Amino acid sequence: MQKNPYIPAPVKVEKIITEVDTKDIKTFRLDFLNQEDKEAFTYLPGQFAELSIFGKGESPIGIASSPTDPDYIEFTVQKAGVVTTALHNFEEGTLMGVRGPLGNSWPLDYLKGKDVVLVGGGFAFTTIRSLINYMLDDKNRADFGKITAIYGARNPGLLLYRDELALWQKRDDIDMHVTVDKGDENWTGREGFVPTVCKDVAPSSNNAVTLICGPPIMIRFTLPVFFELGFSKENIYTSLEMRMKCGIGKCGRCNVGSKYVCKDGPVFSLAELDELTPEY
Amino acid sequence: MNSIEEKIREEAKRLLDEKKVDVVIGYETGTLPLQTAPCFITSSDEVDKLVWNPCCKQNLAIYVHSALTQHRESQKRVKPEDKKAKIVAVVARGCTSRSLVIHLQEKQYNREDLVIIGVPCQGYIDKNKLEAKVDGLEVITGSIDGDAIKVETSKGKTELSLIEVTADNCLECRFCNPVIHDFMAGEAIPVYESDDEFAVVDEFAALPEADRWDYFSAEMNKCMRCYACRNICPSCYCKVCFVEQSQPEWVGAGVNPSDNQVFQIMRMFHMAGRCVDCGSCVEVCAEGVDLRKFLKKLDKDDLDLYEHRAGAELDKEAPLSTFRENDAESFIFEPK
Amino acid sequence: MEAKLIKKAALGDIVKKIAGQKPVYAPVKEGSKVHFKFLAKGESPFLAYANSVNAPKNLFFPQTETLMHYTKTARGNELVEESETFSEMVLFGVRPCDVRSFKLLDMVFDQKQYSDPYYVEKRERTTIIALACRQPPFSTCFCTSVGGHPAQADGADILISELDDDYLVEFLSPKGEKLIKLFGDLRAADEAALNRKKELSDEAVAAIKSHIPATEIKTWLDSNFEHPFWDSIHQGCLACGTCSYLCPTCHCFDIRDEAQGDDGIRLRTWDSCMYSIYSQETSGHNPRPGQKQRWRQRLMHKFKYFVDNYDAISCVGCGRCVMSCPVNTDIRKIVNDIAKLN
Repeated sequence: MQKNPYIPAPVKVEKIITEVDTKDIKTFRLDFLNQEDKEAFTYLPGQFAELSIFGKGESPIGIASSPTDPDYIEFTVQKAGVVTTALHNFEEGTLMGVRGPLGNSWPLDYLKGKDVVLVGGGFAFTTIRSLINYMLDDKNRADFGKITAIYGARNPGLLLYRDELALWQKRDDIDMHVTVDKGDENWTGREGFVPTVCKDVAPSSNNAVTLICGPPIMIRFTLPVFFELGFSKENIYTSLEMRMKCGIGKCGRCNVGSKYVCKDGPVFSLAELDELTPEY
Repeated sequence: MNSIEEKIREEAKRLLDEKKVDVVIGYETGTLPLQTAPCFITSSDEVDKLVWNPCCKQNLAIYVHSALTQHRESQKRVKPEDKKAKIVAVVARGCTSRSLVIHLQEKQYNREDLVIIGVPCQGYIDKNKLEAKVDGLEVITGSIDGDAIKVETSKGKTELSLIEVTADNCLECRFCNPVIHDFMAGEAIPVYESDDEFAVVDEFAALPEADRWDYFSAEMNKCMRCYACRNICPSCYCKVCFVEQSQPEWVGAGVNPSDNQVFQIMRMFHMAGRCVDCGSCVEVCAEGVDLRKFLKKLDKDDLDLYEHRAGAELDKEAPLSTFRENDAESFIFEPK
Repeated sequence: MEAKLIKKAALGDIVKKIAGQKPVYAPVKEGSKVHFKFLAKGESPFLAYANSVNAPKNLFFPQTETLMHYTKTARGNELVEESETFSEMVLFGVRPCDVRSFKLLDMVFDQKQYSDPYYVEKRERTTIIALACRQPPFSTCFCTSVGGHPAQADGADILISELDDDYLVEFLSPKGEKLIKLFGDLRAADEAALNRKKELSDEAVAAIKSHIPATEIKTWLDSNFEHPFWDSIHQGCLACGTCSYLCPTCHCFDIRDEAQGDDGIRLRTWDSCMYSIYSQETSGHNPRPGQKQRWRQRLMHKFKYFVDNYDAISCVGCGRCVMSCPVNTDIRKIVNDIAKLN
């Protein structure tokens, strides 16, 4: 018989990393209690899972780790509602649940053999981070062409994954650009908004795909830059956020047009989004 | 077409043609027999849709509240020089006008946002009474002829008198005429002289406690928590209702007897001194939950303790938002 | 398939007998309203009913349902393992429109990739006895406009049709045949009975007076997500969701946790696209900010999105939403009005 898709797998909070100076975004490293759950949780970058806290509920969160690190899974979570607030109050060692992996993934097969341009803004960088780690893995790197990544936050204190950013910036198999809207006295990096940086970096659209993830305002100003660079709507992807409950296309909450964001998404190309009703 | 209906249409046409109002909220004929639906007229070509008859049930004041509140929200981000006013006209019987008074007293909008087309009202047909009369059968056709109602069900045709299916709250109503209006569509009529409008409360209060509790529990068990009662109630206009708050969660999401009771008790207590006994909450309920008995008790307390009737007078302060030294407070110090 | 005849008067006792052996969910009259409920011991179903206020979907998809239990331990809140088994049940007296609703709900809940165990198990353990409509129960019935039929019940295990002095009982599935011995003395149905059934069935179809162009509006819906028409239907709507609660095919739900002391449950409850908080996000953003958008969603979901996904209209024409709407918003009128725009 099929496994009950509503029952979360028990996990232990292995490690909690406070990502930002405002302390309201933390990364939770989770480890499965049961080996069979761990093996069953096979995922790809771009997928999400329902983080389950009994007594509070569930919250759909993108998976921030990469399947190339099979020892654990990570979720970077902003404190916002009932569930995420409870999660932020957790200590290492606490038990909770994970239900997933859910949704589609970044279009990995489509990306193979192409240049990949990744654009992330603020907190919405988590599944792009998963993808970067995935593509940079020794086993996978040869599958992809040039990788360019542009990541921005409002200020240096709000950048996620700072150790990794520093490592990526030193590598020569990824062209990593980190920018902040406004730096502080210690900031030696780039200043400027993401759309402007995209314009400066001007990645070629020849045999290239871009994946854009960030706040709506950033996306609004970034898209024209990529259109100008010659990217077609078929080659621009983004990931939607939506209120979800079941995560398996039944409860109806994330229904947009004939699609369910939880099951048919969250990743859509711009061409696919054009086919949807603008209700997200 | 009766003369009241004619006058409503004439006035609505004038108000729209002279651009005195943006919308007229009234009643139109429904798609089912003996039913009307709220309608929203924005052009004088459509005023002939407006009707007035004993099938006009809902208290329309809630629609005035939402139209004006939504308009105010929509103007928030508009530059001062581009801001537009919105004026709403509403067909109002006695109870509707009392709800409008409550809104005005509670500073929900201004008097000048509102044009009241007052109508004298002799009561409306109670869905539940009619349903009981025809033993739950569907009314296939229905028409009103003076004081008689002709209905047809699968068992044949029958004639009922209007009075036997008129809602209880209408039969005991002391506000057959609007308490405020800008225009009256028809002559004021005498009020029903109810012998004892609180008989329903007194009879119930005389029952043993266990019986009262059983009755209350059984009624609340019928509730499917669609909140239609709350949504039609002009006095229930909170932006976020306590039942929908999640931090903290006051009422469980599941339908179980105690959560149903908590919702209904809390809602009813918020009605103290604010319920106009329009009966809309009962009328909209698909499961026929009897809320009136309990609301009427609050009405009685309001009158007994504070000599107040909700929304009856614009310049009379509402008891629960006013303090006087001689306020009754025995229920605090000497609770029975 | 076996077709048998029983005397009309015998049916009530047969159901009572079945109810003595397994739970029977059947129409029961309370006051002037008829609801589907589990029959109490010795209780007979109400046979002379038109249709119930609530849809029988409640049996498979209850308004409130516990998905799992948890309890507090030293390590945190942990799932309490349990293997709940549902007993075999009988759903008696379902009208053909409501039988059809189960086929539509199956498309959502019984999918290959994600099967919903709560729904599917109850569904599999239930024998459905349908009661054909000799007359359309209500003047608002429009089942034939949305692919249904008043006297046919594809998906039922047993179909009972009222003839003149008898009921024709057709055992349509092995599950249905298992109940055959509980029906007692059965006479084999002769040709005359089958012909009479056909005759009455045709009469029932002809007696349906309410028709809507349900399939015809699809092309308009495909290309008119933005249209002034959508400004005209929602204004009176109270957003009470009575339409979706009583609808046999509406299936949206919410999942919530409720704790009491150290123990708690994860619940699923019905939800409705007519509610503002249904799509309200934590950030405050609401993709469907007003009742206009919510009404459009309800209509689009039934007559376009579901058709796109499953090639079926998500409406069985029972008319419950039409009759129970507190402000008389009539989906038949809306569909007819859309057809005029075509």
